[in-house]
Amino acid sequence: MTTEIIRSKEMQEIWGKITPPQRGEDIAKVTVGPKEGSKVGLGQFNLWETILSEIIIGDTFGADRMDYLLRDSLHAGVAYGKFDHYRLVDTLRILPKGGSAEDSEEPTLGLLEGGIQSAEALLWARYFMYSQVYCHPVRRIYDIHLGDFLEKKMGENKIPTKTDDFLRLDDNQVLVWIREAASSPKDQIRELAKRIFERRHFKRIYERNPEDQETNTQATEVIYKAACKKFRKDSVRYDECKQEGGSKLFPVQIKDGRVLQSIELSTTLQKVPSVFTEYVFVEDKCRNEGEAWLGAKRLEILESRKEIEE
Amino acid sequence: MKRLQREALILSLIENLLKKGSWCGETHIQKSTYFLQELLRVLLGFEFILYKYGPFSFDLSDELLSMQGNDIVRLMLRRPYGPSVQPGPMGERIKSLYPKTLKKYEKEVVFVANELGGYGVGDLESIATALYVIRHRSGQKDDLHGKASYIREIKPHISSEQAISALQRQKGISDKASVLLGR
Repeated sequence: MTTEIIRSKEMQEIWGKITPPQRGEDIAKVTVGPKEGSKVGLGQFNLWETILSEIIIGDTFGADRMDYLLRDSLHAGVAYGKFDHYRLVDTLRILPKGGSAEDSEEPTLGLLEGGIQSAEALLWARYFMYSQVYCHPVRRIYDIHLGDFLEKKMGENKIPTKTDDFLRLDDNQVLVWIREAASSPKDQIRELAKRIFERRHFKRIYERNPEDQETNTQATEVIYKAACKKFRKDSVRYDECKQEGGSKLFPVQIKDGRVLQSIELSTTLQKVPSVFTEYVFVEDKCRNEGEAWLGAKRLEILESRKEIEE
Repeated sequence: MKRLQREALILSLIENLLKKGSWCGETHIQKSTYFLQELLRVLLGFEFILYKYGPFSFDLSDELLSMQGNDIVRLMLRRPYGPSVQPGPMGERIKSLYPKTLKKYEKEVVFVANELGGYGVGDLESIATALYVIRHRSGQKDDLHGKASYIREIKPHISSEQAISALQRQKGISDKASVLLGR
């Protein structure tokens, strides 16, 4: 869809008015990147197009990733998404991926040594934002409720794929649908809308934890399946939230000109965890029963449903 | 293939690469997994694109990060190259869950480790690029030099000699793989 919008007639006019004029295809390449670009017919990326797209949307130092951490941190009213992006951007350099001459010379985004503390702050900020905002159970369950609502509301068509139709489906439109559905006594999707409109979201009864992982590596999945048997399947939801990208490995040019790997220079970078959470939610009215049931049966469920290779 | 099942196979590949003396950095794992999936037809489900220096899968890169997060593998600092990926404390546990899968693909994993474990990243990048070109130009009738020219066209940092050598080595590996798979 991003590519479609960039290629649209309206946007082409805007690109043409920029000095010097820009081509939609070039903009699409750097903003979509080689991974998605291969799926939407943007062709082969040359080295410079790839690096430019890494600067814009790269996993570790992409401008988009830096921007959304700062922006989300501000709008969520939390401080831990902040870091010194001025210093970080000043010290960004294109460097060979490997450290020594025999290692990979693939050019990649790295840093001057003076920027490493800013990079540490960025990666910790990303970890905190994932663990406390993006993977927060209430935020996750509202994503699921919204998905359920839209799927029911839009039926077979789901999300429109034509640019004009897609742009019409904005926040205002969806909020009106939710309000109308929540107040319509005969509407089939009233219950789905009320979960959002009246904050009657499903409640978390289980979250992935290391102790249960020791007992059963698929602990959350087996508890979800057991909960589906205990309650009605549509009263239970499973969710997985995994931090994507954000490699801790990048080249760093030290003062004498040599290029070393980031984790050689920073012990704190070695220790930045990667967020992986899983939840089991149940309908609000099942919460107390669900918690009591799980409190009594958790170990039995984990032991009785050990992983079996199919 | 389930996530943990796939991770057990990747771990097995890492262990076999290490046995063969591979440095086993991310590049080694990326290129070896590409061979395992595309040439040996082990259906891991990764999507590879021709990235800066050869085939690369962002999904695999994420999977390796996730494996680090779950202690299935860990990064070990060694010199003179970048960090190598080693089995982590949860590695044996994950492998013990999938003995049939590991047995089923054992010969393919060992084959890839035997064939690629001795190469450094520069060679791996060019050999994997050669395989990518062969697989994506199967309709073209060009000879060795034609293929080498195409590699030079899309990856100018590879010299003509390197391209020809990579194509020859790739063909040698592909021929042996055909025998192994009985094709």
